[in-house]
Amino acid sequence: MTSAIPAARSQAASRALAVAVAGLGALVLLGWAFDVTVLKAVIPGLATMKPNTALCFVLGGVGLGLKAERRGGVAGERIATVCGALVLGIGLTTLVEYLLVVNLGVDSLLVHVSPQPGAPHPVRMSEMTALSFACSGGALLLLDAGRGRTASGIMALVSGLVALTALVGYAYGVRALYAIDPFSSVALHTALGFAALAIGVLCARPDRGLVAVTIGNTAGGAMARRLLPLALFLPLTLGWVTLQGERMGLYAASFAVGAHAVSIVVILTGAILWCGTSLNQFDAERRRVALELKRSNEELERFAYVASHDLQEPLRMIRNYVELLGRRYRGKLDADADDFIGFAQDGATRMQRLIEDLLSYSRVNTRGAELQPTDATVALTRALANLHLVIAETGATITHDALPVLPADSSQLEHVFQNLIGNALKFRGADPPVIHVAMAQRDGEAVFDVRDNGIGIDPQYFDRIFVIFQRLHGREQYPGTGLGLAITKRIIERHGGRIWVESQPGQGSTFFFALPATGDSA
Amino acid sequence: MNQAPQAAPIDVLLVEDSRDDAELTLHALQAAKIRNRVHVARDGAEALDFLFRRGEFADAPTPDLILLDLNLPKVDGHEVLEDIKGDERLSRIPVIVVTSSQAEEDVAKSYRLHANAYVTKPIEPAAFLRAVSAIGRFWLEIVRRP
Amino acid sequence: MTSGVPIEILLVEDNPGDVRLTKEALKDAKVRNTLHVVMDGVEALSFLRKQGKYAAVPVPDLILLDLNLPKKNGREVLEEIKQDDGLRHIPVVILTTSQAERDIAESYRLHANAYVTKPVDLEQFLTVVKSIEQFWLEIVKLSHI
Repeated sequence: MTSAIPAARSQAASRALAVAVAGLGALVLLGWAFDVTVLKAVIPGLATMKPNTALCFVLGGVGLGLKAERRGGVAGERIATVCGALVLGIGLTTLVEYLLVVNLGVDSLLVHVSPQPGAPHPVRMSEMTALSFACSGGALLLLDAGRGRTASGIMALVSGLVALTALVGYAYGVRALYAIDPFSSVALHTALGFAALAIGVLCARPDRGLVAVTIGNTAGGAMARRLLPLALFLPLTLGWVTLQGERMGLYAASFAVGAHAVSIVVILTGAILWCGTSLNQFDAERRRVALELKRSNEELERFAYVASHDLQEPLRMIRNYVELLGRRYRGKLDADADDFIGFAQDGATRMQRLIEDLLSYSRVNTRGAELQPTDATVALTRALANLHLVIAETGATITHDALPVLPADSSQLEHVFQNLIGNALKFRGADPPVIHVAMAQRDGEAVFDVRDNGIGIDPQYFDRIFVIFQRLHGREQYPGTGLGLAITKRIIERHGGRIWVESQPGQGSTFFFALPATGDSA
Repeated sequence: MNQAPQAAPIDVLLVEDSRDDAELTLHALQAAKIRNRVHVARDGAEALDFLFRRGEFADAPTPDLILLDLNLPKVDGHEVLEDIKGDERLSRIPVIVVTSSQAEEDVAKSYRLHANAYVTKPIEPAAFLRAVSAIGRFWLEIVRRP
Repeated sequence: MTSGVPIEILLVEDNPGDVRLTKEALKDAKVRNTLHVVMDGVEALSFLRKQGKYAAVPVPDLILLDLNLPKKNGREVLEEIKQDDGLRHIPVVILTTSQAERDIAESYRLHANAYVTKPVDLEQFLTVVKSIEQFWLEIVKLSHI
């Protein structure tokens, strides 16, 4: 299976193409400046790349380069936007000139050549070029614009399609494919420029659209990587072969079309079947892994259940009879005996809690519910209700921002809030606890934070506190099993999120956790 | 840790033709720690309509507990009991027979038809209240219902 | 309900600790009762069918049945009791540690009269057994066939 392509390579390609396109435009501009035919028309006699076209390629290349690079900062973004807008503007204005048969003067921005018989607008870019620039400009502008992203991708593809059509026209020697009217046609290097620009725009954002599907480490990606070259190469080659045969008089055009159609059927069917077989293999592997995971989870849960169940039985005996002992003989034996009984009871109670927590920990994944749209405010409110006694006792003030609805297991989310706020209450300082729950949306994630004014945590322990059974304080100071944060972390990770803390001793702590705000979490 | 009191209110179906007894029962159940809603059927046919969600009872909830008198008009208590315990959905609902009869045959027949318990109604109201309270306490607070 | 004859209770429980606790809880019962104890499912059925050494035992008025038993588990004992014409009239109260939904549903499906979970806490355990005693011995009318 062809391996995935790292996103960085896509972006590097995008940058390289941007440079190539801008370079192409600059070279052609030089060609016009110093009247060098080979730069203007590649092969003498063919259509020339017009000055505006070259200018737009320079602008487009620069804009794309800045967008792909992303290090230009706000200034870079602005320049890129201006470039995109200019390209779009020039393209649209030229299209308007064609549609309304007027001359708006835009063609002679750089070079003026007087109209001649047979050449009404000698330096105006062709309709197809204008359309393609309108699309490229638009694609650049909308590259990062929220809802416009899809439109951006589509426009880049349209521009690429124009380029492809023109290139095929040149390859097959069919003028109609690169020239709509007798006076203007798409130059060869213009078509290449558009192809480069379109691919560059698509590759600039490898995390979405066509490129994301193609480079991904997925079954779909592997299929795309196998089939796209075929989709591009085979029909075009076949078309050329069929065309040649017809031109050499071997058979009529109608035969060529029929034969072509049949071959396409054969190719497509073959490709689909090949696809199907590979996908089945892929799928079977995935299914096997999923089954094993399920089995392993079931075993773990069975183990946890049996372990805790069998552990709880003797524990219950210990607790019950030690308590009976206490009841019946309190004050009748010596003071030591009362102490001993107390310690025994303490130990048993702690063990009971540990077993329960261990069970909860093991069940985070095995008993987790499917992630469904959950109102975080409701989960928080329930957690606070569970803590109402402690809140009242400590005189705590708890506030929160507006919280979103996001995909989650509602009882697990409640558990997270209860644990974090419970900790904030437990590890309070001398003052009554003041706790605030905030939320910020960032990059498709909902980042929550629970801030308190408690005793704080030494930075060297930031990682340790999330580890199972790790505690930072003696049992006398602060009760607890050392599992609370471990369970919370497991829940957050199950939701495809992450959790971390910022704190200083004596200055309170802020626990952050980020959860995917839309579907498609881990 | 144990006996988590169930949070949602419990639906109790009381099948009782005597108004006085029904009132006393309602009163006693209201005092129970667990929130409960009492639906009253005045005869065996109404009880069965309620349970099988027929006619006006199309939206009736499945009760969590049934208190069933034996001497009922239209369809008598044993028949109702038999129908309940013969239906897959209804058979798991605990049915407490609460009736004035002390006859051995009634008792035996009820248990054989899988009544969960049989309680003879005390004649004296205070004792009746105590009995229903005891039923409520045991079946709403102690027992785990399906 | 109180006559001179004590109520016969059969406790089917394999954990000696729980047996002792149950005895303690039933000691101060208002109604006189005799507690018979068997410690596995096979013994339970032998007792009920008056087989072997159990030839002279009384028929219990109430059965307290644990689910986790050696040899034959509580579920099987319950099933056999409720299918036996001579035994099905005896109320069976499941008294077990399991809180699993499927155990509860299954028990009621097999016509257990009540299902009670053994509390972990001592105080609650004693309360529960006393409640069982109060309801089944004082309030309920038992069948004597």
